[in-house]
Amino acid sequence: MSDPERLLDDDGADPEVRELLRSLRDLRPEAGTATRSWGPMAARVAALPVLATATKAAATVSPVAEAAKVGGGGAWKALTFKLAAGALMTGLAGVGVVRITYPPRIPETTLAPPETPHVAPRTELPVPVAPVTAPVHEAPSDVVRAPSPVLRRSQLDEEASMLARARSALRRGDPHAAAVTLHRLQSAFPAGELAQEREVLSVEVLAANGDTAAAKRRAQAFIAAHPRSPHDAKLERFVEAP
Amino acid sequence: MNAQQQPFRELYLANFDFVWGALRRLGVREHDAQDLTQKVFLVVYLKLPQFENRSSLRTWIFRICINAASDYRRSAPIRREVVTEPAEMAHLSGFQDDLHERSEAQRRLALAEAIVEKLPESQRLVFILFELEEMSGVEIAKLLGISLGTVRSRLRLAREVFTREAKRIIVHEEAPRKQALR
Repeated sequence: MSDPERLLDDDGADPEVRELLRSLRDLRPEAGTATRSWGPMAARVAALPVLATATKAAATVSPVAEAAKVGGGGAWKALTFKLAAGALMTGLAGVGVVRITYPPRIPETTLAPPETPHVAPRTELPVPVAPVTAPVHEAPSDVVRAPSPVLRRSQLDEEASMLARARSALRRGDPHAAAVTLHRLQSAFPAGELAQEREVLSVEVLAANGDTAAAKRRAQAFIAAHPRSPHDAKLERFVEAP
Repeated sequence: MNAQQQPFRELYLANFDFVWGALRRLGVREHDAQDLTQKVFLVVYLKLPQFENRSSLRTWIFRICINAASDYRRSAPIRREVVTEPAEMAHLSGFQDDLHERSEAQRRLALAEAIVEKLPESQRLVFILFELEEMSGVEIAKLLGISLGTVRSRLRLAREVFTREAKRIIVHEEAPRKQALR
């Protein structure tokens, strides 16, 4: 049995009903929105750390490009690059469709010890206070105007850049520098788009600095505040730490 | 932009309008649509290696849209901009005037959104996928993991509700106009 005729194609359907349906079908963004919004999108993607091998593979084969060209064909099976399993997702708590498996964490023994004598004691690291109670997926206000797209892009770029610097500092074994950058990030963007990622990195910094109790507390608070966050899987190991 | 982002940019630009429109039809408010569209694309970016070509690219992306819109609807209070209950409408002074101040297209869209909003989620999804996204019954059954019979049953019920509500609102709107012309 074949499908019934669609109301929009059915000449016998009520014209007013069809008009209403047509208004829904023809919904589309303002012309040029895709191009204008690419900047913030690129910043969000850039905030996702990618394994070195991913970049290398992407340079030799371009599965996304192939996919974009074919619109979904066999080329997708040729995907050869792997996103970093530890990729941090930007504000996807509200989407709830991704569960990421994170790679084993870099052993703390591989982290270089502080090289400078003026490094603050671990307990004094200014890891910013957790903003875990701040809802990330708030319904936008009808009253307060959002920043202009250009301003938002600029802010997001800066926020992503600071987050990347903090992450880089941690990866090279300098949790103190990472904590300082995170503190500045917290001050500059207390309710930033990447607030969740900042908090996750703060937990990592605390753990890297040996403050496992604080890391555990913060991880527990984060998971409680964002039970559907894709970051939860990564934070569970801090919660499970003795 | 680095080398890795360039192909993703092409994918983004080629499918942005599709995702934005799908999210809007799935009940995402206009001023939230752009942000949620980007979140959908982040998921696309991250899940790309898991895509197994068991469906078309757009069907795969559309599934992500459905999940995103579903979570959105659960987490964000959906405030109706248009009241469709006649009793409520009658008590809202100036409502008709307000409607007439909007462009006809905006008014029609707001009404259509309000009617679709009334449908139970299971029926709404099938209705949108069939009538607006123009998927076949078989595609919808596969996408939603339900039988073809269930698709048709939900579609029939949704059509009845949509048509009935649409006519009721149209009649209600026409009455004052006709009275004014007498």
